[in-house]
Amino acid sequence: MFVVLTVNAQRGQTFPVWAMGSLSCMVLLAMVLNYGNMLTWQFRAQNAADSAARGLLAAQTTQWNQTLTALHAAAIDEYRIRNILRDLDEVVNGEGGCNGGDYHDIHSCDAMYLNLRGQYMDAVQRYTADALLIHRVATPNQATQIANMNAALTQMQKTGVCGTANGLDCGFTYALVGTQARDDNYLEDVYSDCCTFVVGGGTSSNPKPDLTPMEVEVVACANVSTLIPAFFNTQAPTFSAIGRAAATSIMANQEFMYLGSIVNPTTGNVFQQAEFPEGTSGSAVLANSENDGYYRIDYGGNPDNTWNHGNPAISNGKAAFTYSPANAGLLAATGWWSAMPVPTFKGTLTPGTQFQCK
Amino acid sequence: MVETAVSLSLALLTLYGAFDLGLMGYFQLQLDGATFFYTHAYASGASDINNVGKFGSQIANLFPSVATANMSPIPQSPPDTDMPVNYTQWGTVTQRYGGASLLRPQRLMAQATYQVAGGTWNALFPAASQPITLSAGNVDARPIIGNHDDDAQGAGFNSSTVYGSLVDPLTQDDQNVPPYYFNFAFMWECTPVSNPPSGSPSPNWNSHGDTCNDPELNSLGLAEYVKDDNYGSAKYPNNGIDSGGTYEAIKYHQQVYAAISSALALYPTRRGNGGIATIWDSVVGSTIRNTIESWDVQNIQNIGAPSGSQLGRQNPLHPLNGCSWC
Repeated sequence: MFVVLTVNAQRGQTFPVWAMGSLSCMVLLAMVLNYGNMLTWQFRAQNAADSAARGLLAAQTTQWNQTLTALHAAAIDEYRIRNILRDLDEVVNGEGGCNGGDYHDIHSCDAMYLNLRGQYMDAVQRYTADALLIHRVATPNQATQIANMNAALTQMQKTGVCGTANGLDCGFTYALVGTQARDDNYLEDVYSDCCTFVVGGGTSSNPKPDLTPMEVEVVACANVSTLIPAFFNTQAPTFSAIGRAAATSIMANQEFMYLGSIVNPTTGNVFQQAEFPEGTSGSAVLANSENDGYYRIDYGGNPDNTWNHGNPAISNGKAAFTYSPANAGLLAATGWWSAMPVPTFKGTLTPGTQFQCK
Repeated sequence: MVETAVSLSLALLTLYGAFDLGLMGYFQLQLDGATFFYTHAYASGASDINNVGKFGSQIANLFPSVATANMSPIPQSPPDTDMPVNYTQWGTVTQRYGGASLLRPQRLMAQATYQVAGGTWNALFPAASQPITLSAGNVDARPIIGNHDDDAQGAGFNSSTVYGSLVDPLTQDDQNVPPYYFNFAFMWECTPVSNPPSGSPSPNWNSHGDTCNDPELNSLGLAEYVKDDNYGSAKYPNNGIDSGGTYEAIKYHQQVYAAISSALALYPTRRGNGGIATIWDSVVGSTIRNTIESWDVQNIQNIGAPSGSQLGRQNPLHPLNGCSWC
């Protein structure tokens, strides 16, 4: 008996190789895709934790920025009050260049008194509002700041808020796992007296907790299904995407400035122009060679200012300024607060206890 | 037979190539992950010598195929920034009326490579075998201070001078302080002198009362400050402006000014009936001289140069003078 093997009968011999090979490749592809998916979720978790940690510090930095802003507004008003008081003292005693006419004459001490009195009462009213504002924004302590952070974290995860500009990534559950004051040896001090100031400079500070920059640590976690679907009776596996991030409050900007010296680029004029409270026109009443020098409120000067050349500082080109004040002016020195990342500090955390996964 | 061999070869080659691509994808993903987390950890503070080893070993555990020990961050300049305010408008660093330093995002880049020894091409042509090099890179932002010390350098914010002198905000810079605000408030005053010129309406003014013989530049003790003086909890356990609060000086000053405002409200004119001139010295003038001016440092042009070790402390202002409840 002969068995004839035809050519046609050999067809499909490589089919099992194709099939098994293709299956192997698909499994490998699925594994690689799954690995990529896991990494993507890890990236996303890290970014979510980063944004949460830095965002939460706004509870402290915003309060400080508001306080510093209000302090600055109050300082301008108090400087104005002091100048008006000086002017009042002069015109009541017939000094500074005003004349003895009655209040119909704008050059008279009587007329100037009327203007200065009104300006003074307005300034004190503003100063009172400033003081109340400072009290309101500066009162929350560190415990309140932390409570505000937890409240904000809850709010930013709510449906309708998460996924928007005011919320966090909706894919995760977040936990504020640690807060602490950044009172390490590097935190320096600030001194100022009548005429000189030091910010940092190798000093060491010991502020109360409410005025110490905070560090916070946040965990963002989600249980994510793998791309490998459930098949037969197996359950699709999941993995936990966990992001940990810490941040601290830091001055994003530090500056000093004579308010009547530096030009505001928006207006083209100095930030605080000279004021003439003795009149109502906004310019010098007497228009003498001193431009009402005994009544004018000067917030500083510069070489372009005929009446006040300011108090230029001499820098050593490295880290310090020196100068000899010779003119009136108001200098403000402060900084604007924001957040920056730092290494995590809470050590090993326990899932389910210290943080939950979505 | 030949047909089978050709088909089998093609099948195996294709499958091998696909498998090869899959493996390279796996290694590429490891590289991507390692560079992301390496730059992120480094930019977040792993540059601290205490953290370098820790983060390196952690990343090595996560991405075993990537030689993280060979990775190193490559610092780049921060992206350009815009500083509309010109603090050096009037010339050089020696003529300064202000200055600012900024926290900048310095770009840190890290690269990693991985060589795949084989590959389909190499299997086909062993003589021309070349390793396949996979590479990945990532850039993250490291917070860094530019124009440190209120820009004492007086350099452009995007200049190479500044990029060459960036400092760490937490360990190297004077910007690492609690929140602070203080001011210099200088005001000219015609302060009474002990021997006034004859005939002058008030001591130190000339006979016409329009020229001060010896004006003084005084530094005003304003109440708006938060610095070493009121950082501590011992004297200032509370916040706000009430007694024992950090900003209690503001409330005190407001009370003094408000009392004067109340007095002025009763005297709408300077002279005559209801004129304030008659009671000025006893009611307002005395408050100015006995209380308000006691907050200041007078005639600062005569106090001399400060001692280097006492900068900011040698000639203190006294904004709480006269406060009974502070």
